[in-house]
Amino acid sequence: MESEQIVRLVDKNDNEARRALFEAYYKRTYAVAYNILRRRENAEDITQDAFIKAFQNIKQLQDKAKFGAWLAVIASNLARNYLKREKRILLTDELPPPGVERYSDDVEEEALRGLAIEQVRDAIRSLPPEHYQLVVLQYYYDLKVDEIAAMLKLRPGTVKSRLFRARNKLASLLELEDGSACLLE
Amino acid sequence: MSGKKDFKLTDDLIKEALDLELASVDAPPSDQLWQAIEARLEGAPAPSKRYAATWNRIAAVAAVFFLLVISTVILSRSLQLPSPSSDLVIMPIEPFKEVVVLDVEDKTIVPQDEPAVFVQPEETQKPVVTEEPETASEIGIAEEEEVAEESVAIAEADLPEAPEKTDKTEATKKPDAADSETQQPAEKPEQPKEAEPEELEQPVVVAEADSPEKKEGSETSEESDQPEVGDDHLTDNDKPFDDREKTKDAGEILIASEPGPGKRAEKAPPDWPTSLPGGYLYKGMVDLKSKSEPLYKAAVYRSESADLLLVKSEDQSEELTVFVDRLSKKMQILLTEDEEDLSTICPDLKTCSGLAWEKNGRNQALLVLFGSVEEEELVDILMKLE
Repeated sequence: MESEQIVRLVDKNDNEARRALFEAYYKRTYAVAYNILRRRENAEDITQDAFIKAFQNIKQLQDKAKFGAWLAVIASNLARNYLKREKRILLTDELPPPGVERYSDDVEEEALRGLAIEQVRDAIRSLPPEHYQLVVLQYYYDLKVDEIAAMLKLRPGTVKSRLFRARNKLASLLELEDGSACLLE
Repeated sequence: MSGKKDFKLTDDLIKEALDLELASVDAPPSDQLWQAIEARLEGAPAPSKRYAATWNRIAAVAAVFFLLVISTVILSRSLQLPSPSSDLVIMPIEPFKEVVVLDVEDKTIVPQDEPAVFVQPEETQKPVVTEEPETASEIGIAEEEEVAEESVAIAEADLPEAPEKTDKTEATKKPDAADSETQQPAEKPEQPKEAEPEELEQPVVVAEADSPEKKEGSETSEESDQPEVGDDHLTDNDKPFDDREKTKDAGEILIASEPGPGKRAEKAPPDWPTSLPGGYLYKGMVDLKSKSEPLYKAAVYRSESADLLLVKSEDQSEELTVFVDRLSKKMQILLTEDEEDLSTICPDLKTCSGLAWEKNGRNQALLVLFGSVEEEELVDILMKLE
């Protein structure tokens, strides 16, 4: 379905196809941008820019099934560039509230898993943008190392080592009591 | 945090956490976003971007201000406007220069004797000369324009010396130059000719004439005039870069012309390059200190658009990762090791990029202190440096 829409979009510059793709992807694209920027207004701007860039350059996308991941790369790159320009210190005051309650009413095992997931979420929020970008591409969009490397124009070895480090970073973040303080460690 | 080791960090756990994390973000209504996108795709002007607008405004104001300053300088230099105040600005310049020149020849310091008393071959000179302290700053500005790269601080540093070193013969020559028409036509042609190429730099050199260190200073300024004449005052190796900036602000900056309190303006120390590929010139040394950890020496390099910090560790037994960690603490930014002994500084706390590597058992790092330098450019610099 998505591939069809993309083909239609490429062939006819079809506005309906654009809208369908937008509806399918805007939430997660916005979420990726927001998780990097932590500013709703800026995340909206970045989401807009990401879709416009994607629509304007969609012919460059070879594997149409990877549209979502490609869009995420565009959005996260835009967000990272924005951060570079702003030299903004990431603030944590706008973090979404944890959703522990989802698991708290279940059996104990599930509750523990829910707690673990919340901790991992906290750690993910504290990842540097470049690591966050890789984690999203690998674990959310299920891309392989080669695919990530192609999208980010990096060598596969670099992607591997960065992913390894991202995981280590997550692990080290989970061992610290204060997620924000550990950044200076 | 309790339970932190009760689970294993598996791929599934990360996936699930990431799913929840992305799903938990409340996106704005799709209609609102889509309308904005559609409008932009159809060629309508982009709605004002919150993040870009600020920068655009700042950039526009800066550009206008810059153009104004440049045009003012160019105009004032080329036209030398015959405004009512032009006498006050132009005339004192030559006497000032002459005082400086004579002082070099005499190598004496004469107590200040009210220049206004001596400088008055005509009545019209009085107001001009008595305003010397005020116009002195203008002189400084005028000289700065001529020397181009010399800072105002240089001119300011010389100002107190000029009145001190006046003497009667000097002072009586002032109006000759200043009169410019009637009194002594024979002397007048000499002064501009001599003064123009050399005396423009005299304020720098003259201050050293009183000190035995003068020659060294003038040599360094000559040698390093390609790297930048104006940079000489910043090659004070022992002073932290920030401190030097502060002293500059305070008007106490050491310049090549000043003897200084036992410190000499020097080039980069032997182990440090005088410049980095890409037009980065050595600016000075910085000590990166922290408690119970080894001191790292660092050098600041500046180009037109960015400042880089080259850091070296003396400790040959120190692992690169330890070096990166320590540097991270010292710089208050996060470093993470990258592939092939290169490290990337993550933009966690503030956006800053850099590389770290090991050479001959010594860990080194190249960090971006100011400006925007791409990682690739840093790698290029590193490769050329090596």
